[in-house]
Amino acid sequence: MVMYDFIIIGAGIGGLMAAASLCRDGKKVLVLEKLAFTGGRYTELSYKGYEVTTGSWTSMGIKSHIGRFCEEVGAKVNYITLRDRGQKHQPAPLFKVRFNNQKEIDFFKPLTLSETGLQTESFFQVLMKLIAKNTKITPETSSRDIVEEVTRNETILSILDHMVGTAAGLNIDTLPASELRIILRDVLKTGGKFGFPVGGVKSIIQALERVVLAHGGSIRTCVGVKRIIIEDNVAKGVELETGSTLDAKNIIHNAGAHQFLKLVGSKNLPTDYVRYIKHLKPVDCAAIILGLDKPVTSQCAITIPPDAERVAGVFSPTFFDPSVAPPGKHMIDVFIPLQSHNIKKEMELAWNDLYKLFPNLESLIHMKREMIFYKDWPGAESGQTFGQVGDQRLDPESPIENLYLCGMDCKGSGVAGDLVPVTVQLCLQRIKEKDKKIRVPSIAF
Amino acid sequence: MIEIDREKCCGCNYCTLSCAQEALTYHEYQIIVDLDKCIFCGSCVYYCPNTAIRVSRKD
Repeated sequence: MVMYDFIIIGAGIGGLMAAASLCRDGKKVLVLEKLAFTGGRYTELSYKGYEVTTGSWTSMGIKSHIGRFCEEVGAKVNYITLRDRGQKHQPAPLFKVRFNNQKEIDFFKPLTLSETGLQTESFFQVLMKLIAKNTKITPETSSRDIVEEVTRNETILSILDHMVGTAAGLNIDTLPASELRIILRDVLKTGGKFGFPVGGVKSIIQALERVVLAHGGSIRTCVGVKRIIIEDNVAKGVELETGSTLDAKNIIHNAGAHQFLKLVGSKNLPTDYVRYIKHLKPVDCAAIILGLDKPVTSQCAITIPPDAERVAGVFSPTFFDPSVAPPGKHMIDVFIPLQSHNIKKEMELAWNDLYKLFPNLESLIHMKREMIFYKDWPGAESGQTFGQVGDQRLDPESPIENLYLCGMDCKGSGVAGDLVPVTVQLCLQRIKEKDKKIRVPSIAF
Repeated sequence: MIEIDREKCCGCNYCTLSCAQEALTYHEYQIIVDLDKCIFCGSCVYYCPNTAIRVSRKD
């Protein structure tokens, strides 16, 4: 019987990052994925010539956590950046704000706009206040608390609400200021190098897989794990849905906190640990993916609609890479944090938002797909909200010996998926405490 | 026989995107199977993150 050094449950981006790093260090690694495809929420499914996101939209480019981790482990990815898509030495804007009257502002340019009555200087003051080291922020401080120290302008508050919705599926009341500060600093660090991976985020997944395979690792799809075998509080291996068992010195779980409880068994874990997981507040969200005959957003990465009731932001992958849609077609990803589980009502509100934002939309639709993420497969099991941020998230070292975790539910901060490499870095650090020979990629966050 | 567990299905649409026969559609917030198009390949089972799909051969 083969003895693996590491069995990794789940070929999400976290599992593949851990696999790539460990394989490079000569470890015998097997990644087991229950679905027919790897990448989980961080990939695309090909549909009628469109690369339709399974959740993530984009990466933030070479200077993001994901970008730097990939570079460290030798996973080569090409990006098309805002600088590439800009004009006359100016990068294209990351954000534009679009009102229902179709007025748009590029709000990184400090302007006073008499038409909207919006003084965007105060927007900058808000950003500076959030980022500044001397601004006092406690674990209980909400983003709104800090923003309102600068302005109570309803439009600015709405813009920030929608930006937070886009970045974290939350709003300025539910996103702690401490987390917003980190998100803003991360976005500023990426600068003009914010980029979309050529071909979609699946190129990042494929690049990581190449590293795994090049160093002797294995990845198996359509293989579900039924339970993690534990003896005397030590992880020994896994039992598959088929009944076969596999031995491993270590297991890394990359399939979410709730699945972790199922595979380990709540009775094998401390009561407060189980309680923490059962009380996690998820981010439930939806997306509308549209293939269009013409672009509807203007030349920027993300359009923020402050007048929208449900739509938080609209991303256009084809603005960066036309190859993710059929020739001549364009694509937009519309992101909708859900405010209730009355899905019909939530989506009706979202569609109303879209028709007000883009009055000619209906005539341009070539492809449409609604994607709802809740129940067992929410946008994230632990939203980055109070009690669930930074070090409050799950430690990669589980209560069971030789059993680790990585992925969205673990300790760390970052913009959505960009949190994951931070969790993998910490996971590898925990493993290194027992095995000094392994390297921990430094993503210097 | 194709069974979609409505309790588990969240509407992610991975199954409708991946069905090579376009036998699955998402209508009025549930997955509908067109049995004239379905060839019972069982692929959709492996596209559902919530294990909401069960396929058994028609015998």
